[in-house]
Amino acid sequence: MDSPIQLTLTESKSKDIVPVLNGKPLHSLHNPLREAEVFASNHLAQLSNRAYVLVLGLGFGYHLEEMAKILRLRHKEGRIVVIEPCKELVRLWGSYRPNKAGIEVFSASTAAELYHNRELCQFLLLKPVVIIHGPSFEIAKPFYQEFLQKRAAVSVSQWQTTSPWWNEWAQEQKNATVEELLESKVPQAAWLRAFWELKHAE
Amino acid sequence: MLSNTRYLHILIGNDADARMPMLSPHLTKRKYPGEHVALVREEDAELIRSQDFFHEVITLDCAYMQKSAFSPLLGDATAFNVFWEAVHPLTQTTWAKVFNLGGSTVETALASLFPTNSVIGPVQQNNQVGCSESPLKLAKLLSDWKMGHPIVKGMLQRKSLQQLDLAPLEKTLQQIGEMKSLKSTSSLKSALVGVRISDFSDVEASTLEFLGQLFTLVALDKMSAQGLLAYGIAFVDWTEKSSEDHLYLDLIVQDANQKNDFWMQTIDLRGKSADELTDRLAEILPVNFAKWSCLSFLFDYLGQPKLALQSEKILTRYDRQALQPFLYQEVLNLKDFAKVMLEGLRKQGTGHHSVLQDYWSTRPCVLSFVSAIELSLSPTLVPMFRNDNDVILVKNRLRLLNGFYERIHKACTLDIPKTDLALTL
Repeated sequence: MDSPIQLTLTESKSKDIVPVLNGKPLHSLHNPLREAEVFASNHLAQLSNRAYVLVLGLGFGYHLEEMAKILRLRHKEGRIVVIEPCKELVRLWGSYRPNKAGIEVFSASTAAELYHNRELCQFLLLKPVVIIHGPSFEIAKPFYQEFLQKRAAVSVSQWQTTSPWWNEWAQEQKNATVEELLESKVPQAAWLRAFWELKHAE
Repeated sequence: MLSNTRYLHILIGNDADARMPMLSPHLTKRKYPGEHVALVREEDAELIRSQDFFHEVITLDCAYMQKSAFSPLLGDATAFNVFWEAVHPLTQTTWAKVFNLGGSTVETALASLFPTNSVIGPVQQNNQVGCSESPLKLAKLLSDWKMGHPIVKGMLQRKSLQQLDLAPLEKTLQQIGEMKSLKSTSSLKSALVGVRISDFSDVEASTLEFLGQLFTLVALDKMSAQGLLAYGIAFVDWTEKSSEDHLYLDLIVQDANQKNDFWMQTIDLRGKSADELTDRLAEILPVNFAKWSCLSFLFDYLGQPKLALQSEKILTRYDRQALQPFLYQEVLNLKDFAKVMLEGLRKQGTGHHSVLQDYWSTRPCVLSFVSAIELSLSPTLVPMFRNDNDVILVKNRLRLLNGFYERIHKACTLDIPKTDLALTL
C-alpha cells in the first residue's frame, strides 16, 4: 500500500478482535462471526460451482473461515487464496488466529510484485472465482484495481529478466514482433527461439 | 579433478523416457567420467531419477510455462521469465559437454544457448541446424525427412556414444530370416503380419483365415493369441517380445485406425472386404521392400556388414511378382531424382538445397535414406545439400544404391533394366 497505514485492533461487542485500518474497521463491530456467515452464504452459488476461490482482502479471516467450511462440504480439493496488501495485517492475523483453515495468503506492496509470485500465478491459471471483501477492497482500491486490470504483455519490450544484457535489448524492441525477432541474428534471438520452441512443444 | 567435470544432458523432448534406457550408464560414465546432470521436464523427473544415472536432475516446468504463455492474464512475459530463471544459470555453468542426443527441435534450440563446441548433437547456428557427429546428424536428417523411427534413432544415439550392441538384433534378424523361409511353398508367405485385435467379435474369422493362408500371422498380445487359438488359425507367438521388434514386421492388422508411417504399416480389419484388403496389401508390401533396403544400408553404416547382408537376403525372400514392381519403381525414382539433381546443379548457390530438400521431405524412400547417410558423413557442420561436394557425396551413394539393386535383381533373377544412373550424372 502506497500511503502510510495505521493499523489497530479493537474488540467487537461479541468480544471478537476486529482490525481497524486507517480508521476503518474491516469487520462488523457488533458480531463479525455472524457477518461472516452472511457473507459466505451470499456467495454460496459461486462456492458451489468452483473449488478455487481468490479473495481480495484478508480482514481478520472471519469471512474466509466461513467460506472454507462451505468449500470443504462442496469440494474434495478446494483452495482459498487471499490477496492482502497490508503485510502487518497478515502478521497479526497469523499470530492471533493460528488456525488458518488451509487459507493461503499472498502479500506484496504492489500488484506487479504479486505477479512475480509463481505459486500465485499457478493458482490464477486454475481460473478461480474472485470474491471481493468490500471493506478491504475500499481501503486499498488502487492496489486491487491494478491487480485486476493486469493483462498479458504484448510487446517483447516488456519481457523482463534479471539480466541487464537481456532487458536493455528487449526494451529497444518496441516495434518488432516476436516472429520478426526470431529471424534475427543477435544472440538474444537464440533465447527467443528456444523459448518459442518450448512454448509450442508437444 | 573428476568431481569438477560436469556434463549436462538435455532431455526435454517428449520421448525422453524412451531414450534414457538406451544409454548404458556404465559405458557413458567410463567414457565421460564426472558428474552427469539432466535437464528434464518436471513430469519426467521421477522417471529419470529412478534410473539412478544422474548425479542431479534439474527440472523445467514446461507445463506451467506453456499454460502461462497462452494465458491472456500472464502471457509470454511471465513464461519467458520462468524460462530465463531456469535456463540462464545453466548457461553460466561450465559444462565439459552438453549432450543433445534426442535432437528434437526444442532440445536443439536449448542446446544452442551453450557454446557450440561443447555440444554433442545438433545445434542451431544462424537459423540453420548444424551437427558435427555423423550418427546424430543422420538421425536429425532422417527426422527432418520424415523417416525417423525411435529404434533407428536409438541405434544412432548408441553409435555416437560407441555403445552399440547389435548381438540381440543379430539374433532377432536370424529368427526373422528363418520365419520368412519357413512357409516357402507360397512366396507371399514370407511376409510377417502382426495381429493386435482386442475384439474378435468384430473381425470375421474368414478374414483372418484368408490372411493366415497368405502370410505368417504373429500374435502381438495375449488377447490376440487367444483369439487366433480359438479360431484354430496358426500363428507365431510374439506376446513376450518387446514392441521394438514390431519394426521387423511387414504389417500389423488391428481393430483400430492408426496412422501409417514409412516404418510401420497398419490396417484396420473391420468392415473390409477381401478385395479392399487385397488392394491395401498390394500397397503395403512395397513399403516393406523399402524398409528392408533402408535397414540393410543402416546396418552397413553401423559397421555390421553381416547384418546388412542378412537384411538383403530377407528382401530376396519376398514374392518376386511383388518385388519386381517395387524395384521398377525404384529405378523410376532414381531417374526422377537424377532429373532433380541435374536441375539443382544447373542452378547457382542454394538452388541445390531447396530443390533437393523438397524432394526428400516429400518423398521418403530408399534414395532419401541412403542420401542422408552420405550427407551425414560430410564433415561440414550444416548437414544440408549446399555445394558441389555434397553433390559428389550423393552421387557416391547412388553408386552404392545402384550396386545394391543390381545384387537384388541378380538374387531374384528378375529381368529389369539396369539402374546404372549414378555414373551418367
